[in-house]
Amino acid sequence: MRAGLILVLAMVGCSDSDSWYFRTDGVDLPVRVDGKLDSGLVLLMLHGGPAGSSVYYNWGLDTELIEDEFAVAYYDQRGQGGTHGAYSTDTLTVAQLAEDNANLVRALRARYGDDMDVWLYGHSWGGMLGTATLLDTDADVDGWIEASGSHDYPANDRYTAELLLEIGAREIAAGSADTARWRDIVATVEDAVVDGIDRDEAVANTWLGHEAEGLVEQYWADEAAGDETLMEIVLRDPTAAITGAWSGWVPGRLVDADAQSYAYTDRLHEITVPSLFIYGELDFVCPAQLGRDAYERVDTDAKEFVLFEDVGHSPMSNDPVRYAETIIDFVHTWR
Amino acid sequence: MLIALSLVALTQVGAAELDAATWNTSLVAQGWRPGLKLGVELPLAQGERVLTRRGVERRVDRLLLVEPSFTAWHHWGNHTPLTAGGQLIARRVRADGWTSEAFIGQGLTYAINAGTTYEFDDDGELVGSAMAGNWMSASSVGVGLGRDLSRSRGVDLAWHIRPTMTVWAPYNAGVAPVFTVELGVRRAWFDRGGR
Repeated sequence: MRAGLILVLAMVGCSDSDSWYFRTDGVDLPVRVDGKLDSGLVLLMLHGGPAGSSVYYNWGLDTELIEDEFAVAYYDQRGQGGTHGAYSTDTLTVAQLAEDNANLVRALRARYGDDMDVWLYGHSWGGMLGTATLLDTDADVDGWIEASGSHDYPANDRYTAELLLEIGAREIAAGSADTARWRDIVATVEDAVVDGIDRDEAVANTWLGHEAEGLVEQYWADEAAGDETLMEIVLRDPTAAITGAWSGWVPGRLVDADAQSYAYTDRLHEITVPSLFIYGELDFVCPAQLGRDAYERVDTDAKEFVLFEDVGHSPMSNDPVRYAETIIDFVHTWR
Repeated sequence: MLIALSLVALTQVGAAELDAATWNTSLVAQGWRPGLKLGVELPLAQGERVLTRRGVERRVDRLLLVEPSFTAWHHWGNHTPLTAGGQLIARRVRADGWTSEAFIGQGLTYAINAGTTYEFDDDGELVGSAMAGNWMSASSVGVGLGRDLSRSRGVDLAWHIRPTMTVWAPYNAGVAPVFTVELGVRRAWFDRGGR
């Protein structure tokens, strides 16, 4: 009965969110704003990927806790999720996506008030996009939260290889139940490192990193899913499964190819807004060393690096309460 | 193949026997998103073929139709695509009323974005439009099964189910496949002068 009601509500589009589209440079970006707009602060969520969707971030206990304090604007990046429009593949670049962000920051203030604080909040690939927005656009941003982000692909590739070798050696020495698989992973990564990691090897290592996360013991809180049921999450997903996957895959590949040479580490000192870096100790995809690099370089006293021990690439799922409280406390302290 | 065979029938019989149109209305589902299709079937050609299997003769009627149509469905939180177009349908109808068909179609879609679409105008003001959307070409192909109830039950109706693959272009920086299923009811052909 309840599922039926949810289905009906979903089909007619009922929602207490403020959902709208933002048209910029040929693309229509779906925007959904949840949480407390009267807090005067909105976190602009930059989803991972680059073939992804904001839907994957708009659920779970961490979002419920954060939305109790602030507004969060979720949107799908150009070419992904529920975006529409007709534009050239030439626009599927880091620079254009960063410009889309900058325009969306302006739109959020135009829609919700010029005095609205706007923080960028990126996870994984969103770390690259947020950094690009801060450093390569004129976006007026009040703060920056990078969770398990990658702002330097070449460095990311090195750190991933190093961490796979380090943890692999540890697991083999400890007699892990997956020792045979770890030996394969270590051998593969060593072969790649010997003559320098090329792009194909880096991509392969990233997938090994995802696999490796499943081979190590992580800390998991029980309450990550929050109050929403799986049915509710699925039914409010505005992304067409087929079209979303199809259209997201190709643009995602193109943007990812453009991002290969982006290495912002040497420019991170240009970031002067309050900056929070959250990383998982066992994140093989975007290793914590990226966060340490950023923390050491950003030019502000309003900064913090938080390491989640025994946690991988998605700390918001492993330990949602600590994750949300880390963000809430930092924003309240430095807004 | 059905279309090719029916084009042969066009030269054999001509469209003289079917000079009327019939309505067609369908429920359309794109995933679990509901929609509606309204169409008019116009006959281009009609023919018949007699098959003999195990000594039993079976007559199969063959129709070539064009169906101008209007289709809309609502994808909550995403868009409402409105499509005006037409399909060329090759249909076979057995004596017991079971029908099979194949079709190709071409249309023009205007997909209205869900909610208001905002953009900055030339003066830098954020302005919204409830009807903003995107134009796309919609090319489709599909097959259908159904039954002409005038032959099986003496009712002047027919039903069909049509899985359809449509390709939208341009869609973002490329094209996008869209799969729909159409469950339709139309007025039957065969008890009103066609045959």
